Amino acid sequence: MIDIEKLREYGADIDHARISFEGDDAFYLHLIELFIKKNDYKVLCKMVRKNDYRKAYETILNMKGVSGNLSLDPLFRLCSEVTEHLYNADELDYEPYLKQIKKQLDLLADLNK
Amino acid sequence: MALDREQFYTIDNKRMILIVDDEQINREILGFLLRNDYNLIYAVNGREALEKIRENRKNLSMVLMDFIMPELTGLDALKIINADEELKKIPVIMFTADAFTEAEALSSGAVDFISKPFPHPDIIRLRIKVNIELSEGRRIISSTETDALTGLYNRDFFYRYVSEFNKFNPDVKMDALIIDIDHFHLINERFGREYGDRLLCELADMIKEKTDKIGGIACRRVSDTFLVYLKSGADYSKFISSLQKKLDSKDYHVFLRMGVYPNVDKNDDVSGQFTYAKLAADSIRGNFSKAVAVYDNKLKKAELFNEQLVEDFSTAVSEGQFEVYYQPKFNIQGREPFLYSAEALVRWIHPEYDFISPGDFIPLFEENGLISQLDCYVWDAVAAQIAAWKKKYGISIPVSVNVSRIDMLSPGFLDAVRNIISVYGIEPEELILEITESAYVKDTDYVIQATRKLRKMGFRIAMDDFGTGYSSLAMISDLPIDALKIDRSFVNDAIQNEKSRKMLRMVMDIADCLNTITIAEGVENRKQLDLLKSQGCEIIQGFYFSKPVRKEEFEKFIKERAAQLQEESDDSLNRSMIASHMNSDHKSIYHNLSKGLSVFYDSVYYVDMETDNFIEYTTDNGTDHLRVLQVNENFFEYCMIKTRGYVAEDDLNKAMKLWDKKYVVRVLNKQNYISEDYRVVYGDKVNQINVRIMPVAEGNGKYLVVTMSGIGEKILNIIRNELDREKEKSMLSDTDSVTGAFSRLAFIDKGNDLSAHPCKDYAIAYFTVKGLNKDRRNDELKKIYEAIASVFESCDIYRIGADEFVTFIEGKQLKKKDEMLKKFCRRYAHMGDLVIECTMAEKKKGDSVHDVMEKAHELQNKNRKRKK
Repeated sequence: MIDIEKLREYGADIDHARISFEGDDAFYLHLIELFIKKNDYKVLCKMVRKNDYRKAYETILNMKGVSGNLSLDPLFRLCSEVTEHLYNADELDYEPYLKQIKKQLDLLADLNK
Repeated sequence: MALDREQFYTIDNKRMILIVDDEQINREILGFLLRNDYNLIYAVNGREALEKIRENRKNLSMVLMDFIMPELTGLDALKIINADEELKKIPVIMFTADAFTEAEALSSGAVDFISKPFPHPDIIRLRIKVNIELSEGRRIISSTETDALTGLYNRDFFYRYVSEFNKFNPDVKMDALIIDIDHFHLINERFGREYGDRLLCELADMIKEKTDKIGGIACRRVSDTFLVYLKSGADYSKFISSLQKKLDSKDYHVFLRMGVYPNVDKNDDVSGQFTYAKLAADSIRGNFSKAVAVYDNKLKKAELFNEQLVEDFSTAVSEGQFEVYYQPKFNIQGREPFLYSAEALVRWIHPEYDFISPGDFIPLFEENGLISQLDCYVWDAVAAQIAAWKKKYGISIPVSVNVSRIDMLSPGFLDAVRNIISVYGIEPEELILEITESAYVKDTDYVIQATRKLRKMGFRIAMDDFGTGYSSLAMISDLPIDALKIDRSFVNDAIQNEKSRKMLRMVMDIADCLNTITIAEGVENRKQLDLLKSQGCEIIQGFYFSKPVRKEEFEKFIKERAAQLQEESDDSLNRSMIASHMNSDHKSIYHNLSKGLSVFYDSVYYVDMETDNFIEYTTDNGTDHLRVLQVNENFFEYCMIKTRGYVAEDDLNKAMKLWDKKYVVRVLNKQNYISEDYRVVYGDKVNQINVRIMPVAEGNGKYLVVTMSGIGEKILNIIRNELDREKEKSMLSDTDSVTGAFSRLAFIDKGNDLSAHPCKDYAIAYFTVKGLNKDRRNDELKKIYEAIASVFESCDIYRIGADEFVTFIEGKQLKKKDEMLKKFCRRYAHMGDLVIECTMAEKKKGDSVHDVMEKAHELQNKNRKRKK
């Protein structure tokens, strides 16, 4: 089961999260579980590979916002970087970014085991 | 300032917020942060958000909406919200992780922007709170500019706007307009506030549309008054008629009115400019042929005077400046006119203007509704006066009061009049209510319904100004009224020309049909009175008898009437005194006897044989009306003395025997009546007197009826030769006992009835029978009656003599009169040995029943001569 300490170890800014959720750890963990169950990554991959940067941008933007709101800083930073590129429709090789995002999501999923 | 109660809607003191985000986590975060302070509802995309917003538009304090969402984005939803006049009042805060969209959100109408990741919870809550307050503040400020009901500018803002416009556009020619609805307060009272508000909103929209097109601005000043300020030169008739047409098409049956102050003087303050427009509009109040009036100086002067009167009204009521005058109404159908009732007329004794004519203030108060207060004041004063006079003089003089259409439409009217009579303890019939004909015409069903209720309550209703209100004949026939008051114009004109006289006659006929009495007002001279009397008008009001006078002066009429009534009441008293001695059968016999005898005799005495007390009646007041001449004692002694002085010497013994009580008692024990003639001498004239003495009822010698007549040989012969006992009985009853026809007495009643309705047309068929067999006489008379009845169907048949019949042909039968006459002559001119002569005469203008009878009689004489 995921807990605060595991999240802290992952790199989540727990102090900030506690401010955001006014010390309600249970609610915070509930939201983390919801996030882990979400499957936006697949949508993101699909859009990037189709070069539909607009849709890809909207997806990563949402991921960025949610990870930020949940103080999942490693993922948030990564999403922010990718968001910039997709907003500008930079013609890049996004596969490395996708792998990194996958890795972050897997780490979080592992925390829940 | 009136606030919309729903404007700042809360449940449990919490405002409502809609959270819109396709991301569940974000919705939950915001819900978590705001759950304690707000009632929250949620939507997952722009489309659902719009549904929820529309559903809760009256209650929502804020929308928090994500920028990027599937189906309908937050930005697109925001644009839709801001295009809607009502929805755009709800503040929207957008949020997104995309910093670049902030400007776009704000320019699309969002009140604020929150970035993601969300800032500190307190910041979120504060920004929401501040924005809600700002928004509500804006709405409060906005509501001070606009009229909450119609959305037009309110008066204060409008005046400021016009003032600023004038400042910066001094050379632009502008017109000030005022538009209002005739009697709008009645619409609210009758159909309810909601209906009235709907009407105002629709009218406001129409005015706004129109002024936007022409280039002006409009506001609602108050209630149904709209102000419009626009460049000079528009066609205002078209303006108002287009508004009127639109309202008509929406089934609002109202009348719009417009006042125009053209090319305003910009030195006047704005309020003053519109006052002039209002003066113009008020000048055409009640004038349904004119919808637009333009202000000029004459109007200004007149209306300033009116305004002063309206301002002074309350003071006038509280200080008793209104005084009730009374104009008597006289019944003219008797031998002498007598006071019938009075009309209460209000006068204003103004401290500055002294005596103000009712014509100056009544129409004004009718227009602004103050008439209801004034009428109530008058009714109250009149009811108090009726009660006071009743107490002082012991008689009731009914007084009529005016009831305006506005009174009738007022929901509290019936209670008000009921309350007034109850407070002063008077009877409803003592307060006659005069309602103008025009009131019936304008709100026919409602007014008729109200008058029915009033009559049910016991009030009597007079229709005032009859003939001026364009009533339809169909409507008139349904009217629940007791009197028709003929407008003075008929009275004036009737004297002048034949056409008007015919009109007057028609009015009288209408009254006759409605079975109401007629009251003519404005009667100023004898000529008018005589004409009206001859036409059958019962009641007269006008300067001929008296102008309206103060209550103190009016009392002289009451005193006179009280004296008359005293006399009449003595008469009634004596009758009742006499009647108390009789059982019911005898009462009826006495009634018939006195009535019948009165046709032929000058005097009738009622004598108590135990006390010799007597009452003398005279018939000089008309055949149907005995009047008490004296109540006295020692009847036989009285007659003896009276007779002795005048009786002819040769007849002295005969006369003296007649006034011997013992002789009378003795004879009456043997026979039913005594009939005796003697001659009296007045100077060089000799007159034959017939005296008839009989008990009031067969077998009751306690009371006698003694009749004396000096009207001549003709009547005496009739009495001598024809009044056998059977005939006499027949005469005194309504029905002839031999034939079943109506009796001679009934014939007299019928004659009187027709005399009272001189406009009624009829013909008289007169039958005389010859060859009656003494032994079969009764059977033959019966057959003749049946023969007449078989031909003159539906006509009343009277046996007026031993061998005379008469029938009146009236109404629809009148058309068939000649046909009936021919038919009768063909079939029944000869019935065995009987010869029946029948002639017919038709009533012509001015004919009395007697005249018509004479004509019929004359025709028979001519026929006989011709046959000879």
